[in-house]
Amino acid sequence: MSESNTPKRRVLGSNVPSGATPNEEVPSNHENVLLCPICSESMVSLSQLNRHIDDIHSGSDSGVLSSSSSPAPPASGSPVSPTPPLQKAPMNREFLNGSVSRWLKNNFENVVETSPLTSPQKRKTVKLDLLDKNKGFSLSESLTSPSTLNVFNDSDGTKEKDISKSPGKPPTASASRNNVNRLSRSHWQQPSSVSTDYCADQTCHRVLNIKNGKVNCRKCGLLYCNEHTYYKARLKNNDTIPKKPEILYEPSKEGTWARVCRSCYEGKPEDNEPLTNDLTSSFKKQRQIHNDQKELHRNKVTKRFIKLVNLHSDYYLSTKTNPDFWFSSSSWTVSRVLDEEKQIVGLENWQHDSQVQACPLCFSNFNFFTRRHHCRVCGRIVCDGSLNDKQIICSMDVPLNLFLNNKLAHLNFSPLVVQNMKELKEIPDDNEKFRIRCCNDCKDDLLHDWKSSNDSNRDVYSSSSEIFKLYDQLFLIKKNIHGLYPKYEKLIHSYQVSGDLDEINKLRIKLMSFLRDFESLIALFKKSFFVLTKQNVLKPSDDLSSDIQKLVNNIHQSTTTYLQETLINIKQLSNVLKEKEKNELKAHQQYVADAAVKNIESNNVGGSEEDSIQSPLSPSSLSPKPLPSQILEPDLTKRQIRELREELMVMSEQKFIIQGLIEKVTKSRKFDELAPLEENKTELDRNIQDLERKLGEFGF
Amino acid sequence: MTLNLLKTSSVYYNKLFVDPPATGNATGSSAGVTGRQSSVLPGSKAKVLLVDENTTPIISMCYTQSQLLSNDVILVELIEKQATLNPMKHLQCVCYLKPSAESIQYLIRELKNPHYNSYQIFFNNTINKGQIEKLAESDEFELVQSVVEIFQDYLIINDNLFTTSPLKFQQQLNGVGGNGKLVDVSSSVVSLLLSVKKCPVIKYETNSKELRKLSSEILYAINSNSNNNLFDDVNSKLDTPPILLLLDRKNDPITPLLSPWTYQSMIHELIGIQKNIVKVGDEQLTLSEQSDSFYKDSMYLNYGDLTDKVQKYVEEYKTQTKQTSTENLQTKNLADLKNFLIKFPEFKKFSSNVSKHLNLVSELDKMINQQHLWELGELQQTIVADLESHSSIKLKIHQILDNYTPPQQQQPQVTSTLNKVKLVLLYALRYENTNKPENETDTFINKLSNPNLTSPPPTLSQLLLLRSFKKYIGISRNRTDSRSTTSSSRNSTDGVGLFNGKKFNQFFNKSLNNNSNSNQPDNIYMQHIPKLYETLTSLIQEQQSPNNHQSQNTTDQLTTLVPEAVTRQFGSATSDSIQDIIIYIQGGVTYEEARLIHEWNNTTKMKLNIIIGGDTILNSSSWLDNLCDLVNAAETNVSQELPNHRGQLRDLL
Repeated sequence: MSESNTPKRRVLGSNVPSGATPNEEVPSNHENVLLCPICSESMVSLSQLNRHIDDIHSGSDSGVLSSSSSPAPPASGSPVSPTPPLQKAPMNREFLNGSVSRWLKNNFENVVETSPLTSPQKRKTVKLDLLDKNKGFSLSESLTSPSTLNVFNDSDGTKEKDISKSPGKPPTASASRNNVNRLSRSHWQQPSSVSTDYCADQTCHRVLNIKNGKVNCRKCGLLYCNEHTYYKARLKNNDTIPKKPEILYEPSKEGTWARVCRSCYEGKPEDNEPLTNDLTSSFKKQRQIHNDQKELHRNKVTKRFIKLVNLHSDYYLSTKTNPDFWFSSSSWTVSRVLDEEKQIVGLENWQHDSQVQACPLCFSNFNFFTRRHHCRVCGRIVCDGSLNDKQIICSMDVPLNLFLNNKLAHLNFSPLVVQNMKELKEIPDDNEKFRIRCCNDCKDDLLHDWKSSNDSNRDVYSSSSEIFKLYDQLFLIKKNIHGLYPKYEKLIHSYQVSGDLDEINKLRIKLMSFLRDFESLIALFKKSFFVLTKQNVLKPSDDLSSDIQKLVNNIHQSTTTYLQETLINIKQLSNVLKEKEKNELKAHQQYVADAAVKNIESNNVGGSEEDSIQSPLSPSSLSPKPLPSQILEPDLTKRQIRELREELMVMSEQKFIIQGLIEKVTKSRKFDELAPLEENKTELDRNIQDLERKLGEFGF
Repeated sequence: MTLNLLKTSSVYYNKLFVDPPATGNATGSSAGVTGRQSSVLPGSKAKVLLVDENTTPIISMCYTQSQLLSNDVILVELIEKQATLNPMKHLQCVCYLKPSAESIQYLIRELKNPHYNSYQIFFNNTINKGQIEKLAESDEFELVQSVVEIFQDYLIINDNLFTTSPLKFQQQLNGVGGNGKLVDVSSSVVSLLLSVKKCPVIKYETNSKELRKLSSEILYAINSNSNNNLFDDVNSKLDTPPILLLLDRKNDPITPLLSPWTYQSMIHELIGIQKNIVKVGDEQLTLSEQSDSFYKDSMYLNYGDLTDKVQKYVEEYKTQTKQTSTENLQTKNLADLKNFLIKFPEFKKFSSNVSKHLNLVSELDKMINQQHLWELGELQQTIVADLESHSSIKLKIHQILDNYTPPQQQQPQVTSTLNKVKLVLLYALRYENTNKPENETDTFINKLSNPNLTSPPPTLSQLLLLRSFKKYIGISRNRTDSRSTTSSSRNSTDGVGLFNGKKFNQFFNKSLNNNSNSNQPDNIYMQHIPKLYETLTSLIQEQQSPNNHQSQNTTDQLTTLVPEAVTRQFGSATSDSIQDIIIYIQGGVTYEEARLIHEWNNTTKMKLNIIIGGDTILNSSSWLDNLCDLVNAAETNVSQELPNHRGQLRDLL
């Protein structure tokens, strides 16, 4: 405002008495003195100004005004300054409107092709549009051509006036300045000029007028009432596709707040997946590094172990002949063995007693009761764990033959060991010589390979393996049912014409057989792991441990509930199917009844009823139903049809004859003959019905 | 994403049991068991769920045993019992653990000495790099198939109500050495933020020192890189930064003191809800919004509407029983029998549900009559919402303290000591600014301690609380409480006080029809609205019209912290409208406030999303206990070290 007002204020200063309130320039301006926006001549009243403009400036002198730059600033004020009086003096509106716009048309065609002179009514819409700063309004917008569209800054409604008032600035410049935040409006739904508009919200559908509001959703462009655009979202133009502007959601400070309709608000892309953070890859990477290192370490440990075994078997074998070894002259002494052991571990790894104050595994301090021990494999000092209460045994004096027996027998030992392997293995466990002290860590390292190869196959509890064997079978069947069930469900729901009944039946047979297997397996499961208590309560049998009992209970519960649920679901599905069949049957009957114009009585009512009466609980409901499809599906060749039709005709003829006979007989009152005739007739009737059923729609 | 806790949890549990991330197929595994595709892994087998003591309540509150069973989870074990487990190499193990030092230690032991076939590890909060490394080191047999962080270190009570992982309340209040607890609370809140994908602007009540610590802790967690920058782009789909509002219970001591009159709150007040389980007599009843649709519909109803609703429910049940009673069945044909049998499980569920709620409501009714809650509740509301003159209120309190005999009755009406203490405390809080001759708190206290009138007499700490509450819960309030003792200013719009009775009726115009005591259309038992309402309104108004400085007092009360990620995305201007608010009340939340939030969410038609939580869920007696503890602890401290008195107080408040 200020920018465009400065020149005017200068003019004002020269004309207006100093008493005029400076902060209400425009209104005071009009009350006291009116200036001609073109020649700055002062006027007393609006009508005078009007006349003045009409007389002096009409038509002829457009060239002077539009070409030069100097008259533009005062002129620019004109489209705005008359507007407030418009509202104040409605009497003059028509008159003024016409004249000023004519004047405008003449003078400002080149500058801004727009009509800032909106009717007061339209102005009002601007004021209603308080919810966002995006204050453009649809009506005036629709009047402007696309080329001038981008003059208006969407983020600030007042700019609209500013620009029209400051033609000193070339429109292109302002366009480039404002284009950043402006939302495209070319997709907006134009208010229709002939008929009334309705709110595009499905639930509202109100007439759009001044009262209800008439607002374009900035995103989808449809027209809504005020209430249904009471939502805000940050939007921006999609600049990547030129020419075809598209509004995108832009949830950051780049986006412009704009009014949107409810569906656009709800349609905002949302992140409905709660956050998860998968660390597997980094975990596996680290595990790889560690396990590689450990592999190296294990190799080292294994090598040391082989050396130790070699050493000790040498020692054992050479001393076993001489049980009196303490006093023997043999080169084997305890201290030599210890020295050798140190060599194997490496002197630098062999810890000194003074260095270590606490066991590295259980952190208990060494003292008189908790003694220091060297692990012969890694050389660390550990306790023997006999005193700590953590159930961890930090180190043990392990008989080597325990390792050799089956766990580590295949290692690359020295020939001496391999040769005497059998003997070494048979050394009794309580032998004092053939053993080393080994810490828990080293034990784990040594046995790692053996564990990982053996563990998966080993199961401590034979009973639990039995359980799992059965459970695996159950699981397999369950999987099969899982696979089949959705298919079956889909088939039934999409069941329309009698075409795919075969498939449905096949599927059902399959499903049912699976379910029956499942059931019998559950029964087997129950039989093998449950006992019936005296109170008639099923209980896991007592010879199982409590953990296993829990397990068995859970398995039983899960499988039985699964069975029940699936059965119920399948039953419901077959009910759906029956319903559908019934409907079709009825339609079919209708058709048949219509088709059979002859005296053939409306027939097979039985079919459908038989179906529904069928015992619901009997196993037959689980097994495939007797196929009513024969009725529905006269899958007949033309020839068959012809034959059947002929047969039918013969039957009908016979029936006719018999009916005649019956009549005769009744007339002559030969009742003894009547019974067989009646019988004959019903039989014929049945045959006819059968034939008609077979023929289906191909009957007469 | 919308703030919907139950949905969040169900997605998480789907991840855990149905659609493990290892398979990575993004088939939005459709509802239930039957819809599940046969996307079973080739080696997929029965599963065992390994939980720790922290995750057990989390999972048990939103996932049922039968749901577990239907997902082939046939065994649930505690990792604390790791050493005594039976090896079952047939089972796949799903671990759901809180990344606490203990649990990690157990898990390391388990991995070194595996009992099961393979492991999928889920942590319910962020795990640091050192822990991951330790785990990786211990997985010598390479049995771990996946390690995933999901974020659920909090308990879901209702769809919009959470509590942080259970803590010892007392430790928090005494909070001097409670830094570890603070970190726990903060990490719990952070996990909530992550799970709903919100990187919020933090606002906390300036007068609370605890909250200042907590908020800076949370801000640090958000800004620091230790969480793998998880917070960086969680807001990417949001238009406006969400708000984490941290409030201090001590600024609103009134709300938990009052007797509530809506279903869920009443159950908690009169019977007690522990992790969604209510004990009535010998029975344990589970209350869950998820599985009990009647409860879902009625949990926020007031007592009058509730009794109507229960009656209708019973009627419905009766008509159904008539239809399906066995006598009728004999006369009907087999098809009907079949239908009945199909519906039978549902029917059974229905009938047990009916009896459950009948049981609860009759228990509530019993308690109300036993404690004379109709009269008490009315008086409480009268005091709080200032419905009658000071003198008539005093008269009524005297009557109750004197165990008066109501006109129609023979027996004197004896109110329990606890209720009397609450009443006097309410009075003292309400009229704390009234001076001596008017204010009869001391007389009331004397009456309370008279063993002839009150038996058993109130405990010493309760008396201490009544005498000296001002020092502990009053101070913080005096500063912010613009309310004067006269009722005139309360009617002005910007009065931020503890007592805002009048506005309540404009907002929730509900009536209690069966209340014979009052002929007013408004429900006299629900005149009080929590201060939370006031705080929220001014917060929202302030946001909507940033230039309007009328709501200045909230800006004074609340301090704002903005994380870097928010500044990066939205710039420094915070004048945007609010769409998501997460409220955390330090010191405990009430079901009444949860109801308020629920109504609010409903009235604003999804423009505002609010969830609320606290460290515990309070009822009046637990709040009174907490207050007593607070005062007691402070008093003993004061007597020990007098010079530190001021510092202590500041610490506490």
